[in-house]
Amino acid sequence: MDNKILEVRDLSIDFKTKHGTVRAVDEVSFDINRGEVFALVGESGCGKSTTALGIMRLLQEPGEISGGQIMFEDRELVGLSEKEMTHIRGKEIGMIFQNPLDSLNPVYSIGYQVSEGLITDGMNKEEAHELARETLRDVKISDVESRMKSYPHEISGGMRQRVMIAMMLCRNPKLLIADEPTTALDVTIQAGIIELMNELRSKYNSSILMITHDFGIVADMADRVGVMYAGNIVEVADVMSIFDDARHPYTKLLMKALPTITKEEGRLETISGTVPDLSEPIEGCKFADRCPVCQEICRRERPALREVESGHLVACHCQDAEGGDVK
Amino acid sequence: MNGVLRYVAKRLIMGVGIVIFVSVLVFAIMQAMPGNPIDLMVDTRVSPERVAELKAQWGLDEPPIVQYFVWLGNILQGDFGMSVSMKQNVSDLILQRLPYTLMLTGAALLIEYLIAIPLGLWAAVKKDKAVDKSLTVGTIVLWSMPQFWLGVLFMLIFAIWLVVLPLSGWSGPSSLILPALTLALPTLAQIFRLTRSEVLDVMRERYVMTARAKGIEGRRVLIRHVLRNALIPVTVMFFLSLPWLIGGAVVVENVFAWPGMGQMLWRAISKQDFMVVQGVIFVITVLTVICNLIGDIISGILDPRIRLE
Repeated sequence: MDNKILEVRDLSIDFKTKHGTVRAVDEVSFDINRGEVFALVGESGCGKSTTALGIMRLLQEPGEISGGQIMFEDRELVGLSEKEMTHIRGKEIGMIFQNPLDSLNPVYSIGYQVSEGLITDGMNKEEAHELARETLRDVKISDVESRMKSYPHEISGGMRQRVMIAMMLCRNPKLLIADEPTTALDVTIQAGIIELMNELRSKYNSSILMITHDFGIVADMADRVGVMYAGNIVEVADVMSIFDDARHPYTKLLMKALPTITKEEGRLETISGTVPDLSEPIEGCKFADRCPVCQEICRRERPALREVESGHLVACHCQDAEGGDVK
Repeated sequence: MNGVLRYVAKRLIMGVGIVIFVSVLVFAIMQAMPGNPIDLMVDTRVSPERVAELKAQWGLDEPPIVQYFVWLGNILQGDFGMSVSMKQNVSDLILQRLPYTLMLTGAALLIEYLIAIPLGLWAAVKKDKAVDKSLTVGTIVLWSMPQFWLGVLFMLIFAIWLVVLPLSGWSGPSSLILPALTLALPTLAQIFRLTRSEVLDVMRERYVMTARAKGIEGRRVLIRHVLRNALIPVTVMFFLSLPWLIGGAVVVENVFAWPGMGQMLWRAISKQDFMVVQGVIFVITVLTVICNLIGDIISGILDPRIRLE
């Protein structure tokens, strides 16, 4: 237990709207070990970003945590006051956002923004600026001296994401949440950012929760993977097992939908059907409508996340029978 | 800093251009108006020869283009001509009255912003709560009150019933309170609404989320990250609304017999005192240009993105 930095248990997040309650995150459980990169993958709207914001307790109205626990080290984050959370945010859990273009405040210099957190930690201005410069060098920003005085609009998107990473890393958080850190960037710049994060990972020894829909990033960075579908985690396994031995029908179909150079067919596979409407309660498995091996029980009963092999958890009724072979 | 200086220089040059353009416009309006100053000065029984002589004396027989440059040249030397009705130098009249108008509008602006910005911020933080709703309704009620009526109401309450403040005219700083409030309160709603909506917009920005994710404490996020950005348009509005307030001051100055330019303008119009009307309008337009210029410069200082353009 001591090896775990974060334990999420049955976390549910609801969005209460005029047209009813949408359960964006539905009894999600996973944990992250120290020094580990855990990737949460899934398509848009599956609740992965909401889960991340929930852990930071930064959900915006009308979203709220309606149940479950978030244990960070030995502290329960659900129920902490806003004031107590300010001591955890940034200092112990950092977060990098999807779009670096609007994640930096346009009216403050890079130096100010990177050092602001350090100064609130009680560091004096000179020390904070020195550490900011050092971290900016770590994230491979050239000409740090003049960049410290630059404003966000004066630097490129890739560089802004590096600044963002430096801003969060300079305080050496125990856990870093990266919410689609490369999605808004050009492919070539993406590769640079991933390479950088891998490098820094060993230097700063942070655990990372990586939110992504990109299996390329999963392969490059993750140690373990959680696959989310419509607010549920359907499969958790180490990265090798996910690629070689996926058990859940949804994960398998996702794998088939990946473009590879060895694949001989000219067209990419797609998963037929659409994600269910989450504002109406669903009795059984949420993937049932799109599942090629759907059985009668799948429509009645929600499958629980069960360990099928050591460290490999799957939420599928078909798993118990014969491994749910998907054609 | 270099960028800021270049930005300021650019705006200054543009400002001078605008003043020249405005002077042409003001002069053209004067030309287009029926009658001329001499006809107003002299009796109908004066012989045409004498009128022509007077016209020559005042330079009104020259072609308009020459007249324009003479007029502009005089204005640049501080000579706004003579008032026909008051038989005084227009520049002297303006200099006597401008300080009172600036004092009144300045005080009104200060009252307006000092009340509206904190209220706007408060309403935004308490969005959709009772505080927000009552503030919104309250400022709209103020907005709906005609200034002359509000002024008379204030006079009735504070000067006649309670007898705590002077009724009208200028008799020391306390006589500033009622006219300044009358000028400020109805337009307060605009600044309140602008502040509120800007704060709400900025609150939704991703960089505010970033600041919170850094663990910056709530009040500091609100002041340093939200308000700092939200106040950029509000500050620009401050300078843009000054000339607009001077316009409003014409009414309020008359209600309170305030010895400012607005009151003089009112009288000059009713007496067709061309030189005074021209002079006052010219001063107001130059003030407008200066205020716009200051607004531009301030917004350039507050928002580093604007300096590039």
